[in-house]
Amino acid sequence: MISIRRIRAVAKKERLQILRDTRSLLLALGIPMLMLFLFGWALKLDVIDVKTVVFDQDRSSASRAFIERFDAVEYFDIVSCIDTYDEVERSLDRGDARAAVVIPKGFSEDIKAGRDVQIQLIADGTDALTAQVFIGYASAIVTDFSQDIISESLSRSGLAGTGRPVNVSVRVWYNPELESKNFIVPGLIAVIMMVIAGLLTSLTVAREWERGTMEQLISTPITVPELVIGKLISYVELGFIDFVLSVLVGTLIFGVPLKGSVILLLVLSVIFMIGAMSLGMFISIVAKKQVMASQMAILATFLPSFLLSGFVFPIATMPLVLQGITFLVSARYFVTILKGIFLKGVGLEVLWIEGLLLCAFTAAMLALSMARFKKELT
Amino acid sequence: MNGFFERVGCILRKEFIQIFRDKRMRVIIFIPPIVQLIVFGYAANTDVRHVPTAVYDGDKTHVSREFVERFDATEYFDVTHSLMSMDEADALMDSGKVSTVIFIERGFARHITAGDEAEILIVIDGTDSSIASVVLGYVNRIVSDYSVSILVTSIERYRGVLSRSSPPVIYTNLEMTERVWYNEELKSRNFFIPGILGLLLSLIGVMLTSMAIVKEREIGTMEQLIVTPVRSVELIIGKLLPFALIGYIDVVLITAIATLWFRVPFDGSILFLFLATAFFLLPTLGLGLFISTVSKTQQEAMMSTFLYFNPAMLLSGFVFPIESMPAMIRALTVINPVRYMMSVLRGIFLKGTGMAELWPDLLALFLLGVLTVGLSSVRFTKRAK
Repeated sequence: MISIRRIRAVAKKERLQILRDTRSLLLALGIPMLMLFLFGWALKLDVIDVKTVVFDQDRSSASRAFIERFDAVEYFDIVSCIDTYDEVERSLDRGDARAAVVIPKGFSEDIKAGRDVQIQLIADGTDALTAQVFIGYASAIVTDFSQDIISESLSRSGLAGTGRPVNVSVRVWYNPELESKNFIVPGLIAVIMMVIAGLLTSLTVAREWERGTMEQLISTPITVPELVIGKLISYVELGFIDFVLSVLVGTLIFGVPLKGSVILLLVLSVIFMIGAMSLGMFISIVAKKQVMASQMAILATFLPSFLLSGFVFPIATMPLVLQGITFLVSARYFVTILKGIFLKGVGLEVLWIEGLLLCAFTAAMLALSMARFKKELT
Repeated sequence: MNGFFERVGCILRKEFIQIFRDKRMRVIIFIPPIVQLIVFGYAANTDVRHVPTAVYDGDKTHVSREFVERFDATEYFDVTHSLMSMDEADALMDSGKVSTVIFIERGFARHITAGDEAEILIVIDGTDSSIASVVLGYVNRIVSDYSVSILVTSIERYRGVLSRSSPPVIYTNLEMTERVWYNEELKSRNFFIPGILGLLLSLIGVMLTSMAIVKEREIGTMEQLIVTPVRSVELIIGKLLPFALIGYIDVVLITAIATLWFRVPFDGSILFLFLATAFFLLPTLGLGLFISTVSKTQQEAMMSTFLYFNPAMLLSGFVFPIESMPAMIRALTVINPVRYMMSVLRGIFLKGTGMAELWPDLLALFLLGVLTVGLSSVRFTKRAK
């Protein structure tokens, strides 16, 4: 039924068309690399150097030693010491600082006398996520300081066991340095691949209609599946080059660990791309006009793959209806797969559900675009 | 100046008829922003609560149970799995079913009561580093609270044993009280939704303006306009004003949904919001005009809008903080109008700040606006001739 020869012919024609159209070629190869370089480098969620002001009402050596603890870690950057509460307010209002440490009067006296001391941390909660992170760091610094004082006074009183009662070792798996680039870069690759795949193919069928070459194709003995497959092959080749380049940039330049199997990664990426490109082709068939097609492709690829894929916003915290919708976003499976293979080094034993759903999505998209195509040809 | 307002008025009337006659246009103006706001509003959530946690309790004493209880009692951790062996943790972590594991070894209670160091191992899934950092903070907090409480009990016990004549043990417990300003409940939604307003305003402004002007050129009616006595300044004003008005309608609509539906606080002044919108629309519409002068077809205008919007969104501080970016990129964001609008909107919604604090952002928007509108007007006029 399906002739390999005819598929080859279509693929060859498409390949020539891609190679001759320098703008598309540039779009296909240049834009993904540019996006990956720019965003992989620029986008970070690491909380370091939080601009902090100190309102030290005590001005003693003890309070300075305490402030020193904040300055010593990379999380806080003490920008100024201020003298009034009004200034605290002003610097947070203006955004000159995101945190303020307020040390009460009599800080050192209270410590010597053994009275409890209240340190106040004022945090700009606007960005809730980073605020929570640095509040955590601040609280760790304060309790450290507190425990040191207690242990010190215990040993002064000649008490044994000056160590800490509980020694907790916290280990972070998969991304021990807690570097945000390690999860942003794989997620970014998924978003970029989705957008490019959708955009590239969204134009291909619409263009044939607009230029009138579709009628020529109809007059040839080629069948719909052959045409769709032939077109997909040439674009998947292009997408595959993009993907390999992205993985190389991610691992070699950004230093993201690739712990799992490269072969599994490549196989699943091809399946993902066929699905994304079939979606693009489906849009192209439905839209019939290049303008409409590219608009729809952007709407159908960029926003869902950015928002609903679990790239930055965890799916688990979304309301159920939205969680249901994410199952229709194939980037969701691809993001999980990429994070799993890159960071966790897991294989199909863990990722089989995502793999299966990805295959199902791809098959459905392929079937859908072929089914819609037939109607238009007759 | 003679007839200026009359001619601008004519163009305006023509534009309004053209925009609102098109059924697709009527839909594009209002429906996508609302849908996007609702989807964004629900999806953009990075709150860390109810982290699924597994516990391996090798001690099985009331001391160890009390320790685990300290985690379970907070809203941050939910103990979902009890492990029989330490190996079970691997599969649970790999599949992402839990993202924290607490290991308590046999002899935990014994060490605690003897005053020795008791060892505990806590494993955190670091895949999403920002969430892991928050979890790490909570872990540290719970553990050190526990640690301090044990130290204090042992000191109290020691006091009881000693006679009054021996030197008193002096110790201080340093406590940190935190006060969160502007977003007291630390809800990420309050942070994201004002930002979405900026994004949508920018997308609508740039896209609609550029497409509308290019369309006029594509269908050839631009030539008709050029042969009329309308001057190009009047033409530009007449073309841009309708989209400014649409921008305002969207601002009112989105602000209403944000405050009434999503319950985002609105601490600032609505008048100042309208003023700031004008400052933001200036560079936004200017960019739309600019894109229209470099695009031949609507297709190209659409692509250019996308190429602008994509980096403008990601480099605006909407999700990824500008302070964390490398210095060169930070310098690049200076020319991104969305960046200023982000801080203005968050200032108005959450901080309740106004002109006194936000004037630098408005000034930057104004300068960018003058620059883009000026540049593209010159290009537009040249092309018109």
